[in-house]
Formats: sequence, structure tokens, C-alpha cells
Amino acid sequence: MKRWLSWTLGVVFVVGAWLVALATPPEDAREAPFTVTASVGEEATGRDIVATVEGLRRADTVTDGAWSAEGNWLVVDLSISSRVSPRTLAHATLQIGDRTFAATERADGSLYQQGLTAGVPRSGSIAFELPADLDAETAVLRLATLSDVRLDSVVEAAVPLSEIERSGEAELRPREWARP
Amino acid sequence: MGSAVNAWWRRNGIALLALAVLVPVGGIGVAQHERTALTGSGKDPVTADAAGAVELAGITVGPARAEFESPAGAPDGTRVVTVHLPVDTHGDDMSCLPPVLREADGLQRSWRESALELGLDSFDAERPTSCPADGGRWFTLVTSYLVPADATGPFDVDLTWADALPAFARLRVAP
Repeated sequence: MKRWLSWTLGVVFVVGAWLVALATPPEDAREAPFTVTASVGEEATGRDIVATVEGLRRADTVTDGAWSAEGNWLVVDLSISSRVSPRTLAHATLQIGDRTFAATERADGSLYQQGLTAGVPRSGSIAFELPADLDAETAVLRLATLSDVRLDSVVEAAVPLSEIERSGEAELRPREWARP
Repeated sequence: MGSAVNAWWRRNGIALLALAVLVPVGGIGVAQHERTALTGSGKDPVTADAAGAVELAGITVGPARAEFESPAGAPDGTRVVTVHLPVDTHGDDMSCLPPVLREADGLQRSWRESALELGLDSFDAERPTSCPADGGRWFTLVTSYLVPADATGPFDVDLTWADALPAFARLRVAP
């Protein structure tokens, strides 16, 4: 084989291998959830979840009836149902950078871990207690009806943390049918 | 050539025989495991006979009937399906959860019994929603389901109990 042909083939193979490595999905891609992205006020429909983020609030104190707690709170107002079968809002997380926060279980009136009915939406709130010194500008809210979200639908919404005005107090919305 | 083949079979015959036995046995084991893991709530529906009843694991279930209701606690855009499901245990012990309501067509959406959400008494001895511990030989399960208004039926009512698994009783109702 001619010298120039050997070199050309070698370069082609190296570049080809680099392209294949570039195009290869990460190891966990075959189990990745199916993400449905929606903005605030927009209904998102997944395999067995229909959710609308209706509002975002930040406050120094969150209240739920007689219960209250001070902190750096993000309250997410929601309307949510399952689509096909009885489900639970089992996954509600907020990802900020490489840290992930789960919705608080301290507020009994939250929608977190509550049952969902197919085709009959419920409205209410979930709340996230965040670090006091948090200075992140954005976060990603994720909602799903299984705690293990692999290969399941996940509703995802961008949360512009720095654009949400922080008030003194925020009350969780009552947990009720969305169309009373 | 012939002696070489014979020697090869002598060396590998037992291993091949073991493979021939273990591969199908392993396959059956995996299939059975998947079947059990996936069907903890029942997999094989047993549908009603001509009389509208299901005979399963020594228990008679049905015939079932259902009607639409509009209780005060139901939100707009919904309706309530109330199902009456007679059970004859023939004197056997029986423990069951409330039956599940499933659309027979379309998306085949399913719903759990909704007494709590509708403000109904789920411990009313006259309207048990699950198999009562001291219900005697005969009792009738009365369960209400909150469904969206576009769920018009017909529906299947699925009743599962431990002794019948992986089978369960499926009865068709058209309120």
C-alpha cells in the first residue's frame, strides 16, 4: 500500500472513531425517562400524567392551615391528574445545578405523595425548602407518578428562581378538585 | 477424523446435555418470575358465564350491576359510577381489596374506589367496599368511582383476592 494511502486511511479511521464516540448515547440513555417539557401555565401530557404548573412563589415562611415553617421556600401551584390509571404524585424534585431537592413532606396539605385520578384533575401546591444561601438563577422542576422515573414520563418545567419575587409568607393552595 | 469427533463428544457431551436441560429450565424460571413480579394484582381475567357470574377458587362473584349517580361531593365534569357486586364465599374465608373499575374500550382507563374523596362512609356495614371479615357467606360489595364525564362505559369490574391469583374475576357492567 502506498504511504499516502496508509496515512489517509489512518486519519479517516481515527476521525470516524471520534465521531462514533461523539454520537454514542451515555450508558444510562436506554433507561432515561421520557421528558415532556412545558412552561408555566401550559398543560403537559405524559404517559400517565397530565400536569399544569399554574404558579411559582417564593417566600420566607410557608403556611398550610395551622402549620408554618420559616426558610427559603419555593411554592409550586399545580393542577394534576393521571391519564390512564390510579397514580400518586410520587416524584416531585427541583434540580439546581448538580443538586436535587425533593418536595417537602412537612406540609400535610401538599399534593406531594397524593393519589391522582385518571381524567379528574386535582389542584393544590407542593413546596421546596431550599438552602438559605442559595443564589442560583434557574432550576428545573420535575414531576412524575412513579418514584423510579426510568423509562417513564417526566413533566419538566424551567423555574426562573431569580425572577420570582420573594414575599414574607405564602400559603399552600387548598388541595381540591380542579373543577369543583 | 471419526476418532477425533468421538473424542470431542466425550469431552463436551455432558456439558452440552447440561446446556440443553438448563437453558429451557432457566427460561421457564425467568418467565415465571416475570409473571409473578408483574402480576401481583392479578393477570388472568376470568370473565362471567351466561348467568353473569364468575366461579373462581371456590367463590362465586356476580352478577354485577352499576348505575351513574350525581352525589353532592362530585366536582364538575365528572360522574360517579356505583357498582353492586354480590359475593358468595360458600363458607370459605375471603379477603379482598375494593374492586377496580376499568373502561372496557378506548384507553381502558381504570379507577380506584373513591369513597374517601366523595365523603362516603367506607366502613358502612351495609355497603362494604372490601370483603368484610365477618360478612358471612353472602355479602354485596358496594363501591363508588369518581370518573370523568367522558367515561360513559361499558366498564369491567375487576375483583382480586389472594387465593385466586394470578387469576381474578372480571365482570362487565353497563350503567
